Amino acid sequence: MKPSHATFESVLLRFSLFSVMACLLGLTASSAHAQEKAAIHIDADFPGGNILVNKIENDTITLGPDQRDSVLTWFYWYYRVRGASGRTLTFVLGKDNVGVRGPAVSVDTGKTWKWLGAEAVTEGTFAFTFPSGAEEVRFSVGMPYLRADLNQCLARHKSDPFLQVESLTKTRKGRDVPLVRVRDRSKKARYAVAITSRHHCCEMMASYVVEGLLEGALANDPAGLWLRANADFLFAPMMDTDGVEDGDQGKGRAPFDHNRDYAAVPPRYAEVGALKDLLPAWTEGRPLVFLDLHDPALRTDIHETVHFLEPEERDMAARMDKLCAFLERDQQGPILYRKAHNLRFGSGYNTHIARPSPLSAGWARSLPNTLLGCTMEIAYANAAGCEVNAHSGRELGRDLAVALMNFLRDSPETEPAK
Amino acid sequence: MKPLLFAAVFVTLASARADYTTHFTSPPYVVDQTILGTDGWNDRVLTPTSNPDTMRVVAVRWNAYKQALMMKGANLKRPFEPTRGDKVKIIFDLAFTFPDKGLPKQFRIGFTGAPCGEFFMDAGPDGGLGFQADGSGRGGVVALKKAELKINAFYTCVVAIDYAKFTYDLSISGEKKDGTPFEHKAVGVPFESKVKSVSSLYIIAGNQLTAYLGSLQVLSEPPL
Repeated sequence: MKPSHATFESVLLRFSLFSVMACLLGLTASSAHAQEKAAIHIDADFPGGNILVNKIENDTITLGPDQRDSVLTWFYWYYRVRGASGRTLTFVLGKDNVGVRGPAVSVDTGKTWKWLGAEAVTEGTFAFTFPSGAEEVRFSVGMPYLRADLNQCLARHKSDPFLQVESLTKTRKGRDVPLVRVRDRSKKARYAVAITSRHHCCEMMASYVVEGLLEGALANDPAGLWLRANADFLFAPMMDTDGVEDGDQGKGRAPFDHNRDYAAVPPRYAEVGALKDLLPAWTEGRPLVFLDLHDPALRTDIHETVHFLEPEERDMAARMDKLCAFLERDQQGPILYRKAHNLRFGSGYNTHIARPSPLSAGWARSLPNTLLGCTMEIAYANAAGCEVNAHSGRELGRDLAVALMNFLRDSPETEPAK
Repeated sequence: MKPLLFAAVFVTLASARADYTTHFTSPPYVVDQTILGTDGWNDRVLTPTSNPDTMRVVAVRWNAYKQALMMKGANLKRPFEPTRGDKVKIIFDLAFTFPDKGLPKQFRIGFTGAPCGEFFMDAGPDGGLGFQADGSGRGGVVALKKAELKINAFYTCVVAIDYAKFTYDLSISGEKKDGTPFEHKAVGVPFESKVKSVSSLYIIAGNQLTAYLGSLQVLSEPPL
């Protein structure tokens, strides 16, 4: 279900009410009943954290996502509970805020995650029995992926000569925006492949796919070897780095979000401006494939699939179809992608016609050397009956690497740029 | 010593002749190519919509890049010389990628002349990996429920047929989704049949799942 739109004023009012209630109630369970048992601490004071606690009544806690500067009501939340060892608590989040496999739960401070399961949730409410001795359990609408997770991935490959980690630019808050290159520095590759994600910072499941694709490009398997011999990769995996670390929704930021910034002159966000400057120069006229990875809404219909958004341009649409045919044919991961799930241009929410396009993929398509520029959407939890999680997401990324190899190898535009 | 060694080798070879064994390795198989037309594999029923891309030999990433036959909506047959002797052993490895919800009997593999019926993967609500389906996609015994079946992990299926005693032994083994070992055994299952050999196999795979056949052996064990 696509969450309903809300006016900026109504969201601000709601935000204020939530904030006041959270302050009045504190982020600590304060009922006498709770104090008799133990003090429960609920907070979001860590990277990626986001929660508003509305009410704590005995063992039932009512909470919701903190919308912050989003004018589109969205559903990202990520909190931790401490001091609840051995207890069973009920969390009321609202049916629009919990996905189809329930909340994601981590008992190791966010290192690994599991879906609690659809059967554990009724109308956005779920109960959780905290393991005895568990000091801290984290809950989220998805499986949070933060800069630390990316760093961990990069650390696994730090001695890889084909990997180069840089900074795209600094954020408003002074953070480095990660830029990762995979290339064979001893030669100039024929193709340029650019991968972006987290333009909407909350869309964390896409990050696992990006990580898989990155590892696919680095792999010593036939796809990795071919890709490194023929393509330079540029990854901008956290386009809204501040939002990722601060735990913002990012989707529908006021007045517009990072993925609606590509037509603005100058761009509102430094990350977008830096990418727009870097990418054309980096490609040096080589044929470019540009993929921008996202997560859709939480439930129903197209939102419970992996799908690509078909470009308006017919030649690009045909090329996307070809890439997707390879992905469907050769995939070996746990997620069964179907080309039939792609969203044709003009249908569903794939109707952006503004020129110049404010979207990253639309902007990329306007570059003269772009073979294919498009958006790929990865469902949060359920991809047509297949579970989306850290492992299956990474494997989808590996499958995407194989599809890219086949797409480029089979491309009629094989002449190197003059 | 040498005559003894020679005799031992001779007895071993004579008692378990490899009627048909494949691990889908190269040659004759070519990785990332259709299996159609290779080593006797062909369409079971040729239809206008037959697509060679739905049955390909691949290097399986999640299995250390060992080659296997990957099927996504495949329809295959592979005849071979009829087995000889009263005993036949069939061994093969199967793996699946499947969604939570699906249609029944999305994968079926049958061996002509084998009394164990079809092995199958039923993606329906009460389905799973099973055997003894009747050859028309109906019936059968679910050995491992779908909810416990590990995605992308090979299960080894073994059938030992004794045409003299009219019984067969069957086992399916592998690892469950939770990582614990799994084994299903059926011993001394009686059957009636006028046929006393295995002479071909067929595969019918729906497009709701991906099926992998990792290796395959059909072995005659003639009486000494």
